[in-house]
Amino acid sequence: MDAGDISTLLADMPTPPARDGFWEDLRVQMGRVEISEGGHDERVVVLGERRPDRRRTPRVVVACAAAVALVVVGLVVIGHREDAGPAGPTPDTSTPESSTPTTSRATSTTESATTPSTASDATPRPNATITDPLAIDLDPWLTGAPAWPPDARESYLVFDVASLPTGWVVESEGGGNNLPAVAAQPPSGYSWVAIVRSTDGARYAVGARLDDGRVQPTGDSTDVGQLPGWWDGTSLYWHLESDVLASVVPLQESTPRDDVRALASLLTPTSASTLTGPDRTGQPNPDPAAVMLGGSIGGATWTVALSSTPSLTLQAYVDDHFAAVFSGSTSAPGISPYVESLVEGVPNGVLVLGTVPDSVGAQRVMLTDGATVTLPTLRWNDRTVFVTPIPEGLDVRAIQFLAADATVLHTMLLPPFGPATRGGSAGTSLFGDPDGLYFNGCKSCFDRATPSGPTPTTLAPTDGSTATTTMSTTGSTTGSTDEVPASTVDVIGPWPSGPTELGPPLPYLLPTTPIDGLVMQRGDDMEETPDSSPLATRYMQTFVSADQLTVLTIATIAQPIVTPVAAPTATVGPWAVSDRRMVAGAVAVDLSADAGLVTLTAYGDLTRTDLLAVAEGLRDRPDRAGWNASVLPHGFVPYSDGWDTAGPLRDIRWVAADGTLHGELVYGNVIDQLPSVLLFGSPSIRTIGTRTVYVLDTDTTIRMFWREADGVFAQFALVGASEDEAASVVAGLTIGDRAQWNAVPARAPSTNDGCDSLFC
Amino acid sequence: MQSEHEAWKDFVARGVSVCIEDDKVVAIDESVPTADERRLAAFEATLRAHDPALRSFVYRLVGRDVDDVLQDTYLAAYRALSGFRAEASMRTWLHSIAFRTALNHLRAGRRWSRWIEREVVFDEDVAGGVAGRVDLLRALQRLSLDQRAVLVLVDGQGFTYDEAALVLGVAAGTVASRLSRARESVRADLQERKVP
Repeated sequence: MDAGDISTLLADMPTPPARDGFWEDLRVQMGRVEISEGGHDERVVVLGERRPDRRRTPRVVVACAAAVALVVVGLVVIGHREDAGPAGPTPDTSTPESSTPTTSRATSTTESATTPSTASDATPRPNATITDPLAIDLDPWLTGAPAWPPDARESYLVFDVASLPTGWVVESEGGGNNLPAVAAQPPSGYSWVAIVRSTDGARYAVGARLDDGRVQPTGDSTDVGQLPGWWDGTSLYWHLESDVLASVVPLQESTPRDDVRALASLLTPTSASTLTGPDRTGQPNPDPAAVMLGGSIGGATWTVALSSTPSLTLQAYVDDHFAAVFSGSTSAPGISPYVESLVEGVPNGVLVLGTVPDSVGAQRVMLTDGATVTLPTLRWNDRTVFVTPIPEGLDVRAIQFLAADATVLHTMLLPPFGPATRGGSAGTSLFGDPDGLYFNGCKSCFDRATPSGPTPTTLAPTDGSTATTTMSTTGSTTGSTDEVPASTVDVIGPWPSGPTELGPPLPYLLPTTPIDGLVMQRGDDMEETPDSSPLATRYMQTFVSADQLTVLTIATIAQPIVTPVAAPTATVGPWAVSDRRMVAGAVAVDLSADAGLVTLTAYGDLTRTDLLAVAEGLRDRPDRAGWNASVLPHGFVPYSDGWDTAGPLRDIRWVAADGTLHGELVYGNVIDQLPSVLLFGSPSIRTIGTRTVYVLDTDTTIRMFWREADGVFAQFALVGASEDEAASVVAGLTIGDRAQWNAVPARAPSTNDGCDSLFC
Repeated sequence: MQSEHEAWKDFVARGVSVCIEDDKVVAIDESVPTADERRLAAFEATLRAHDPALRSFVYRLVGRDVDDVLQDTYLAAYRALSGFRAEASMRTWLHSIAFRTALNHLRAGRRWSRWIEREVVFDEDVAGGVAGRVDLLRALQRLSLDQRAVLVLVDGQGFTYDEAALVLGVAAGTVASRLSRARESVRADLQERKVP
């Protein structure tokens, strides 16, 4: 028989016809309608309708819905301040010695670089713990930090007010990047303003800023030089560029429009590479003795003074000039734990300061390469307060709040802060809040690009659900794919294809401990088929906590997705996030892109918010499948990392005289059996010889799971035995050779078309 | 007449107006009222043109679950159509999606105590009681999925090594080696059963 004969046989082999209704069913499915779980018609993806670029899709409605939901449960935005200083402090020009932390303290300990190998390929910065509340300094982690934020502007269009004609006085000039839209205004972008005074004493605010659309050209039209402008009362506005709005605002209402326009015509645009940032001339601290927290931020000294009249107040100073004030609620957080805080741009960086529940024992700053710095919180007057000083350019991605035993209680994501960040925002971040990526349920924090594209139509969420779906109103009927850019995430392009060769041969694991009354039988040895090629449709990365009892998995299917994911409920970076329904003890989200799907699943003490933090930190690994998980829960380390191949596997069974199955050992790439060990009971960790073993004791069966070698995992189950008996079998496993394996009696081929394993 | 390649570029660019059926460009009835419906009609016509080969391929991969896998394949193709760049032929592209869909399907049904090959169930009635066919089905059943796929593509459907490599996402050399082993295995199996 040659190849031609096989071809003939294959060609001659009939194929069953399509079942009745096959094409009709397909037409219906393709045609568009699928009933969602909530009973709403939901359009499936159709030709020409690609998911919009999430980063460019307006999400305001989504963010507002989430914010409203939080307000309903009593979590109210406590305010926003931009320029105002604190009310009341009496000026005092003395410099408080006690407010300046000394550098001689033994304040920090550098831990061994335990950053997981999946973090950035660059040399990781060390993890560390700072314990002295008066010496909190993250400046050392600027060394080795990536360019941050990655999309920082290189120049800013402003006015050269110094070139105004002789006689004009520039009273002040400054600007900065607005605090990213963590909760409310101002939106992301930059703003610059100068106060100038004419020879006759008239004062004007001259401004230039990234146009946020808040000023609409509805007033009288005019022109500024060759540029069209408009009046809003006596204020004059015009565009220097399409996205840069200029303004001249007279500070006296009686100023004639002609004078305003005359000044506008005198202004010369110029490009500035830097902006001055927040005001550095605030009042000094009137009560140095109240300083309880301090350190350095970008080389400057910061201090925070605490007071409790009438409510908890944290007043922050940089180089002894007032920089920010947090006024907390009058009582400690209630039953639902949350972070109450202010994020404020200050000279040399950003301060995050506020209160946390008493259960919080420390805070931990997470950097993009996985390095972490644990910082102290401070117990004061029955409240727990914290300050996180983020120097300009430090790539902080999240702040985690930890219990005394280092359990992660909450992860609060932070957007990248631009240089010279100005403005502030206060709010709350509910522990584990599924909607609260950041303050006040703000989902738009990560929509950093200027919204554009087609107008979204918001579909009403199902009753009692906060799920919201946005759907493009264009594109689906035109067949054009040009109007809505596709997601930039491509999990196919940069990924190498799956393995075509098997990895190292499986070891021959041979039991040496007999089990009374049971006969040992081996299963097939598929390595007898040399080209038993592995399936490689999925790449699986697993991380475990320090105690191994919490597991995080990142499963990536690098191909177009066949099974539609649920409607997105959030956006993280370029990913559309959909929630998966999971059994108790597990939480999972799907991150979908046009070219593939990434599923993050947590088993144990991680929340959806934690998963979103991990999602935000996923980075491509050059020339290698899998992701750099640049944001990981503290203490998590890689447990497995590789293609989720289907084989080879080997198994040994122990059967009674009547053929009843009592014991079973299966090993190979069975990493995705780990969750079943975690979910169906309360496993413990036991060291058996050199193996660290998960042990699950059910009413009838002892089940064990362990990593035998890289890419090789094993599970063992024994019915009706004690844990020690099962452990003795695992302890007795030795590595043999093929001859020894073959010496074990082979099991008869199964006639059971279902699953007859103990692991089904 | 346009080539298949050019026709499909046209199809993608214009959303609808033409499709391929039996290697010919077929105009879609423009009286169909909406662009969406015309698009559906065009795509279904194309799928029907490719369905016999795809059905044969998928049946030999997954056995009796062929309808389920094909429906998923066609939906996936429909969904991904806007990304079809006409750099590969439609036949190769659809077979590639079918192969990956079959992989997913088998993954979903995987049972840890058994080998994936055993989960593929063929209705031997299909063989019409012809001994050689039944034995071939059983021989196919014993192949790994990748071997089965390459055998069906190359020996069953006349794909070149390069085309099969595109479908399977492997190098042409890997196709050759897998094919060699697959043929050897089937040959040994059939000869053992005394199939001429």
